[in-house]
Amino acid sequence: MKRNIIKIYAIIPILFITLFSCDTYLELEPQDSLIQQEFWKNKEQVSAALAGCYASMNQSAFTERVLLWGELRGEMLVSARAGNNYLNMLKNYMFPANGFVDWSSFYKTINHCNLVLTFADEAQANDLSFSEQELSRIKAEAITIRALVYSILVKNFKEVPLVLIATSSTEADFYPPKNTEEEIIAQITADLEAAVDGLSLGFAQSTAHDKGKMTKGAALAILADIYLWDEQYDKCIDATNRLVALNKYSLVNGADWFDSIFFQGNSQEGIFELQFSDINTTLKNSFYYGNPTYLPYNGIQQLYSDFPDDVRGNLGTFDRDFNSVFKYAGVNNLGFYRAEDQFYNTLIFFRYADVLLMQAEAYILSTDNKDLDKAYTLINQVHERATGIPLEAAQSEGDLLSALLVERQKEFAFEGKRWYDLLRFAKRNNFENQYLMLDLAFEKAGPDDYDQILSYYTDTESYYLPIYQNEINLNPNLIQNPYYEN
Amino acid sequence: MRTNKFITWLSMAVLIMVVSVGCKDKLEDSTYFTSDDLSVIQTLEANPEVFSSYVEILLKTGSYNALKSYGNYTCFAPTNEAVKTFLKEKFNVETVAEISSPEDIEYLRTVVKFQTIPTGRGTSGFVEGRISDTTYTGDFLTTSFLKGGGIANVEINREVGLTEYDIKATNGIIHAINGVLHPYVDPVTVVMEKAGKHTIFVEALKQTGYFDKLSVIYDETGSKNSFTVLAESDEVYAQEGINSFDDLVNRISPGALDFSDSENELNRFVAYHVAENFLYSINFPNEGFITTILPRNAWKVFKTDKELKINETETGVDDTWTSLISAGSNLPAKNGVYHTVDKLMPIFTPKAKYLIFDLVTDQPEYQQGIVKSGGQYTSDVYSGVRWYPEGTRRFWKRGKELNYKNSFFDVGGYAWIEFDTPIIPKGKYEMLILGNGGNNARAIIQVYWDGEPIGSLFDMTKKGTSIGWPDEAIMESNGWRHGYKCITDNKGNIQYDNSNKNRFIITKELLCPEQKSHVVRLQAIKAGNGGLDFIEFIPVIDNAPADDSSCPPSGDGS
Repeated sequence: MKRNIIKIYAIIPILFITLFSCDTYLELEPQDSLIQQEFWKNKEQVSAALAGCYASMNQSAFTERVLLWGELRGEMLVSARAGNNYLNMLKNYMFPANGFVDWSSFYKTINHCNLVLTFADEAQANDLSFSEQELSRIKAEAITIRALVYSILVKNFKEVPLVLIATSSTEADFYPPKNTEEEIIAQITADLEAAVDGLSLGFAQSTAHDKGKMTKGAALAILADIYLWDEQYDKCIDATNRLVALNKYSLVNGADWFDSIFFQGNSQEGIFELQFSDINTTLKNSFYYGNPTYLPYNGIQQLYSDFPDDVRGNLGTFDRDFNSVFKYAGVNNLGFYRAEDQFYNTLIFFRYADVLLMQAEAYILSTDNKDLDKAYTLINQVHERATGIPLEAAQSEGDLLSALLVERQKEFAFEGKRWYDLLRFAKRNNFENQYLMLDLAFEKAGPDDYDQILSYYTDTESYYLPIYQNEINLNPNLIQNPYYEN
Repeated sequence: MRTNKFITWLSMAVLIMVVSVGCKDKLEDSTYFTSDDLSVIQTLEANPEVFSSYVEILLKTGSYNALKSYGNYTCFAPTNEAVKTFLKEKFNVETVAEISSPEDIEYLRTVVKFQTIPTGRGTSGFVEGRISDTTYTGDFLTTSFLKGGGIANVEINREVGLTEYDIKATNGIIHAINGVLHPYVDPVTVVMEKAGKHTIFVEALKQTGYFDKLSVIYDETGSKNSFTVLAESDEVYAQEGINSFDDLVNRISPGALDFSDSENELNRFVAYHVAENFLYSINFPNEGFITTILPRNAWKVFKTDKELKINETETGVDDTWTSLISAGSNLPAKNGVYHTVDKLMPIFTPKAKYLIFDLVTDQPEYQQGIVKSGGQYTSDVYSGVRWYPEGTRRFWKRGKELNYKNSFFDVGGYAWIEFDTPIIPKGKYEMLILGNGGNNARAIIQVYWDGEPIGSLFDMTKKGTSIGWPDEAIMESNGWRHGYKCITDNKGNIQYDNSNKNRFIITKELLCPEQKSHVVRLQAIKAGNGGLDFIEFIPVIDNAPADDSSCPPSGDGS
């Protein structure tokens, strides 16, 4: 018995030792990398994470889609040596297996933003030098980036899953279903309206900081763009007015149009331009003179022919002699080109001319604030700046709209805008202007494939992209977009 | 002791378990495949609610195992409803099981073969036209986008639509279709007749005897005939005021009623509508000729950026051409395909074209910068110039040369030199050559055209005075003409005014019965220097003297 008691006394400590003492011993943490619990501790780390949000947009998977989703389906580019996925997109022949519709680079950026939004508070509580004001600016920047990414997604897919929680905890829904267009747009606009106050007006360090980060101007431009897309014209007018009232941006002179906006980059009219510390591979691969993937569609030259002095024409947007995209590949009006290792271009998302033309569109289409004179003045500002000749005056609403669409095409050629412009115009009033899309078939078809290409453009649902098949396979809650169900 | 016993029992039990259970092969009775994916048959069987009837047909016709085997098939599989409708229509039965007669099973077998292609073809390869491979019956299936709405609305043979497409299987690709395809059995003539939209043309086929000729599916050697028919529909004829066969006769061969005579105008007209080829519109060449069964005649085809132009007049003013009406074109039959043209298509003679062949700047090697002015090159550098004996030759291209494009071939001391001409449209031409004659010239040349001597001797030693220069009429009678007024050198000298730069008329009647490239050989009777500038071909219109008073048309961008 006594022996037993001894045994028990002996066993109890052993038990204790095995049950508790091993706790820390077993918990090994990686020594060569940071883990989440150790990160998010101070301001510097949060700032670094925010920089990661920007850097995630710097990937060619992201920039290539921003540029080409906005161009290929319109009548802007033809292929010199594009791959199959791109050739198919050029004729709007889209299907779910086309890897170019993979949105994962966009959701990577969204997740980076969500991480910042989830953990920044914690870090601020930990770091006395981290002010409330800085916290709110950093969060506002993350929200604005996220809103920008969602605005691109909603314009391309119409319905996508709205993921607002970082996938760092089990709280996150790993199989999110799609949200409606309405829900996504409501989220974008609510986020941006809230973020504007927190954002800075600008950054003094350098123009690269100033144009390359989310500022009040950037948020208002994205906001105006999405209001216009959603036909909320009065709110678009309001957002653009607030942007103008910042007194920060102005049109560059016509003579400087090419050099300042595109060759130098970060011009006084730039609102948000993605910065590249290295080569902008998307623009280089697409337009490098020595080996371009895309050339201007042959109607582009004609587009500028009515105004021979248009600074956006020959050796502005394109080069007549070599039929190349000069906007990004050119150096100056002597016809020099950038070498392969000189593609330091920024990627322009919004510039002031865009804001003026968005406002003009809203003034034409608004019911309560309709003002065709104002719209004319705005369009003419952009027109006259480039051509030196005022736009033909006193036009009807329809004429103004057509003039606006053409002006946008000339001003923003190859800036990833054309397809959205066409779709925005076409889809109004239940696709009243579907002809804009159907006409593309004629522009794009050769002698043998008119019927085929026309067929790809007839269904209004086909103007939105399919969800990449991989995503559908991985996420049982995702439903393929209507045109692509098979 | 008791514990020992227990241990013994325990170990016994363990042993037994090991023996009886442990040795069992867990993999027994299971088969393993290199892939978990399903074959065409397995895919069809895995979806009985859609494909069970077609699987029954495959079993019944003995095609079941074929689609299970290794390969890469395209399988157009009708859905159950489609099969049901088809059985009702064709055999008036409800189920596949009810079909028993050998003929009916044979027909089903043809259907299956007709719906199967030995190569995998996904929808991404579909065009307005045919699928590029034939089915097991040796026919081309067509795909059409005319309904709009993209791939989901594509029609196969303008007959059935796709309900689901690009279903991948290990040995092929399946497209579910909402109807059973009807195998081609009729020749193109009968298909046209049954469609009933070309009654006047079909009547013309019959009257001229071509109906029977075009109804032959296999020729005497057993290989399948292919015909492409371009036909005017009744509607198109009506626009021309032709409302009956008699109207057509009155238009084409008034009074001549022996339609079976191959010289009869209507007979020729009909023959001109047929080519011995299998051409969907997409298979028409970008630029070229398609030979018709009317001897020595062809359709001239030219595809612009936007349009297929057949027999464009190319007069330069108010040109006309014929196109195809898409809704009435690319319609297949067992031995061919027919298209509907958008206007009356009479026999077309392509227009002869003025051509000036610059012997230097028209060489691709010059255009690509491979050869440079003044450089010495052997003939193998050129793809279109040859000479004998071997050795190097050079050309000059410099402002001071009073030659077309300021360039000439500086050749001498050859036995022969020959040039491949550009492609010359069929027609009748005057052929002239300009060489640098005069004091330095030593060569006397016989010209050969495709191996045959042509024209009189081209004597480059002749001075201007000996040929009547500058009197145009005397020169013409001697077989010479001035150089061109618009050809100048950098000092402003004019070729026309130079007594040593005259064009020698090789022949005034050069017949080119078909459009092609020819070989011009200059055979030296007396070897020696003589720079060669250009050879020109001037169309002879209605046997009137060719008008070359103005400059050579510089359509080639001089």
